[in-house]
Amino acid sequence: MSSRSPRIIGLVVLLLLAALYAGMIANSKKITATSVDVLMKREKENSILTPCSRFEESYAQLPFMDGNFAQWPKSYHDEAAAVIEEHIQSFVRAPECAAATGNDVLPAGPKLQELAKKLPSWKNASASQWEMSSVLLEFLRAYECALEERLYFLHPDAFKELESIAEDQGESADITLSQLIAEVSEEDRTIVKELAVARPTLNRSLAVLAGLSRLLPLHTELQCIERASIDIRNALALGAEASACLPRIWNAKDPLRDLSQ
Amino acid sequence: MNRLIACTGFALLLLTATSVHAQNLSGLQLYENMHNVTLQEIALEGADEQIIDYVARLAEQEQMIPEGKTTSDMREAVKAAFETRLDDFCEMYNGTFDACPQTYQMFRDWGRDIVDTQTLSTDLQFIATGYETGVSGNMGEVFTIAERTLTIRNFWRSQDDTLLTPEVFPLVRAIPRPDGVTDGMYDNLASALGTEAPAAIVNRYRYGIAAFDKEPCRETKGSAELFEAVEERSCNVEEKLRALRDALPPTALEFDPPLQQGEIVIFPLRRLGIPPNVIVWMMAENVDGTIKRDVGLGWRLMLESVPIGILGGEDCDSNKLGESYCTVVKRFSIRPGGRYEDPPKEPTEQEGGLCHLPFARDGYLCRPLRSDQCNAELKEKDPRSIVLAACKPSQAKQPVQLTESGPDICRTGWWRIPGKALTQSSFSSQGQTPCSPCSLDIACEGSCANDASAVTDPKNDEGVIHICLNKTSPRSLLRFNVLHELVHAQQMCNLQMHTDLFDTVERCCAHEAEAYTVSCRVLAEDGILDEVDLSLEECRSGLTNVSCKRFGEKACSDFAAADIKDKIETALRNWERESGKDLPSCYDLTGEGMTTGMARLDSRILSMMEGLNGACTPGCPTKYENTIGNNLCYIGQCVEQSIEQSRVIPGRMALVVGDESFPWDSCALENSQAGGMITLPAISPPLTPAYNPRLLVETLDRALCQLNGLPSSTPPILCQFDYQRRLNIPTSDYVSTVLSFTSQIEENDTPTASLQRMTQGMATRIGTSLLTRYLSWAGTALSDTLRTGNQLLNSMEKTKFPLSTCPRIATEKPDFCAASASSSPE
Repeated sequence: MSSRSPRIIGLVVLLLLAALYAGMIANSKKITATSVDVLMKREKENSILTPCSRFEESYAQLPFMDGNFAQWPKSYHDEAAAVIEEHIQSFVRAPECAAATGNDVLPAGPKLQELAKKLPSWKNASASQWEMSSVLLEFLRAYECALEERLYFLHPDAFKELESIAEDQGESADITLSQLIAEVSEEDRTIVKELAVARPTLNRSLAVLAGLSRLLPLHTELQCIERASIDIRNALALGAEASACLPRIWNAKDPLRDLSQ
Repeated sequence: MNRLIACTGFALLLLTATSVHAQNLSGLQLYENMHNVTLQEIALEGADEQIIDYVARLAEQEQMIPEGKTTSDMREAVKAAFETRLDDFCEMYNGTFDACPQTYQMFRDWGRDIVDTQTLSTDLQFIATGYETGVSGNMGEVFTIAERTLTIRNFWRSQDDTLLTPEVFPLVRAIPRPDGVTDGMYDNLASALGTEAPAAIVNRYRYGIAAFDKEPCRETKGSAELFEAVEERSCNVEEKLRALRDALPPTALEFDPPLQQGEIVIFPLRRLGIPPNVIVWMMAENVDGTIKRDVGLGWRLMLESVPIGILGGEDCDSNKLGESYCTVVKRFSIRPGGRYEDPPKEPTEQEGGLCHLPFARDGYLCRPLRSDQCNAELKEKDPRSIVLAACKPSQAKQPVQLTESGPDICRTGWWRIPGKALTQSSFSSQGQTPCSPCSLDIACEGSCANDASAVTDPKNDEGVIHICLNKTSPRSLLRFNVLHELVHAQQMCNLQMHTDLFDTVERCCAHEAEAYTVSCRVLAEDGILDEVDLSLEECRSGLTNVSCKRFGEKACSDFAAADIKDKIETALRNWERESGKDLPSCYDLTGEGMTTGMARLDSRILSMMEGLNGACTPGCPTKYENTIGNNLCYIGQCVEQSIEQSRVIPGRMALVVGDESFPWDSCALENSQAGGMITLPAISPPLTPAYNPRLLVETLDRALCQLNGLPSSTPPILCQFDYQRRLNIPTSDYVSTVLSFTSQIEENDTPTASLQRMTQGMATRIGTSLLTRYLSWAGTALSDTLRTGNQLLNSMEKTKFPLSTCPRIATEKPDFCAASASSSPE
């Protein structure tokens, strides 16, 4: 056998491998990989009631990532309070009576919209003001998940927290054991308290607002009907003005009616 | 000029209304409020002085105060315990640590118990706020369904509508604030309120100050507790409220237009800056000619809860609460165990309670289905169902209305505002007038035909309709009779002379039913029908049967009511006697002149007389309030007058004897039947969508079990623990087996808690879905009605009118006639 044969065989094998590789690359998009990726991504971003975790990308925009733990309760309560205040204000907000769908009649206020966009359920969907309680309950669930997860990794997280504080203050990054114990103890107390307080607080607020909100659709519709009624009244008043001219065509049988002209 | 004033007033009203709505609701801070309540409940953080005082006194009662210490000393110790300062507590308590932690914990437990009780009360108040705001009928709330509904109703209504509905609605209007009410008066009130406990005072005066006029003010400062607050009075606040009330117009004529009998006026609400969320309301009402004015306070959103009383023991009722309990209460001034006397009763309508307010008085608490009660006896009633009201179908056997040529729509004329002054002479002498084909002659006589209390004769040759009123009849019957006979006069006004309205059973029943609809309506408004326990439908049917008795028993309706007429007359006499009213006599009525005399009876009588004039007759002015219903009344009457009493297609000059005078009639397009095929939506009561709580709970149970990889079990705790799991694979020793058993539940705690947290999110979605389904069902009738209206307006818009006039002299068909003939439907 000449030496040419192995070379040819090798070349053919190389060509075949190259062709196979090219075919795989070319076909991969057509088969499933890309579409499944897109679907999975969409599902991940926009799923309903997902398992929550502060390490999930879909929850990354919430203010419960690493660091700055001392601000977590304030951030959560301030945001919840702002959304609730905005919801109460929505009772005096003029509805979009010409909206095509019910949800658009009273779109979410800016604060609710901003919060909803940070949560997986509403990432790609516009929220309506009717959904305020759902959004806040999801926000609360995410907050509680974050607190629980902080509790699991309390010591390393507390250590990082201290390091971060020291770095911000330009001090030495050496953390003593007593500092760590004090930080852990403080964070533990805060987490236990927040886990006990956050849900009853929101429940109480929603107990008041749920009663009010059940009337919100009716209240909004009535506002729209009221505005439409004024339009109809004005149109009919014009109609009445016009019908006052009807006597001009009464009994036009008299042949002498326009002889003078 | 009047129009200018009206426009200015309306603009002012809009401005004031807008300013009220434009104010933001900052200061509500609902969430912060709830956060504080929860912190206090769970961690005893920020416990108020009353709770600290309560625990200190309870320690005294339990003889737990160490020697040498007083109750006052204990307050600081209790405070330290609440703030989890154990060391401080022990030092303040007895200076040693012997048994101190137990006492510390006991004090905290007592505090937590009383906070739990108070929190329950607060929660209930907040829940009530959520459910009642908007529908309670209190004025000035952040939104009010009742007010808005009434506004829409006022836009749509015609005063004639009341004849078609079984409801009796109050007349309510809003007018701008009078000049006498200044901003300074509100500022004075706000400063007076600022020095008091606002929650208790606002609650105290939420129904107005009318109820406080009976007794001179005596400053009573109870503690701001749930039950004791009802005794509280603040003379300073009352004085400021009275100053506002006195600035309101005191007589009916000072309102423009004058306040009608039973009409209510509401003035723009004013929100006070401090305290937040408090508004001031003002109203006036014409009650039997007297203007009753009132001013009160209210909440935009009631978030200031009034706590239950835990201190104070001056008025412990030992008969109800027991001698030993009251001994403790009086000695230590605490109410351990949360036992209280019966709550004070709400003030009644006469005393100025909830039913005193204009919107609340029509709620079910104040008006047990007043005149619209139907008394239907359901034979096959589902024992599980709750029936608030049920109406029998109409039992009429004959038509209840027959229309003749002439304007029948809104015939009573209640929609019209009477114009120039009417006098007796202007009616009785002239016969036919330029505006009307008839005139009235109302006379008081010793007796009327058939010994009736009132009779209307057919129109005579001069066009005069004579109405006989029996002067010996009771005065209370006068209004009833006049309204009834005026309807008959309207029925015959457009007819030929001497037409008998009651010659056949159908005509008798129809004409009497229409007249009794009107007169029964005024009986319902006066509450007479409630006295005799009749509905409007029953009153009309029964009296129509009586009036058409000559055609047989129950000629018009199957409704049988023996002596219905006597019962109503007796009730009217009783009403006259009990009310002590000085009702006008028949001679007062005719002697004072028609306008004054009739107006004293009922201003609608003048509208009915005005209604005899054609609404569209040239040269005869028509005045009415600009509402959708009234505009439709006017348009309808004009169309009827035009089509039924006049020709709208002209004729031509006949050249020879045989010429047709009206050849163009045949050119008229066929009736487009616009609206003929429209079906009014069935008004069915909304149904609550199916709600399966058991199914939902079972689903949750299943999910909990699935978390642990087990089939569903109820209760789901069964899925938390499977004894076989460890027993089938035992460990080497008993200790680790037992530990394994206990840890089995712990390992499921986290997923269970996670699912439980998710449950609220799911429940909210289910609740929203239920509400959406309910609203989509409940709103169907309304949306169908609006769609029908839209369809009718579209049909009207498509009506085509010819552009050229009919020729006066023509021998051939004009173009438009040929065009319309060719375009007419096949």
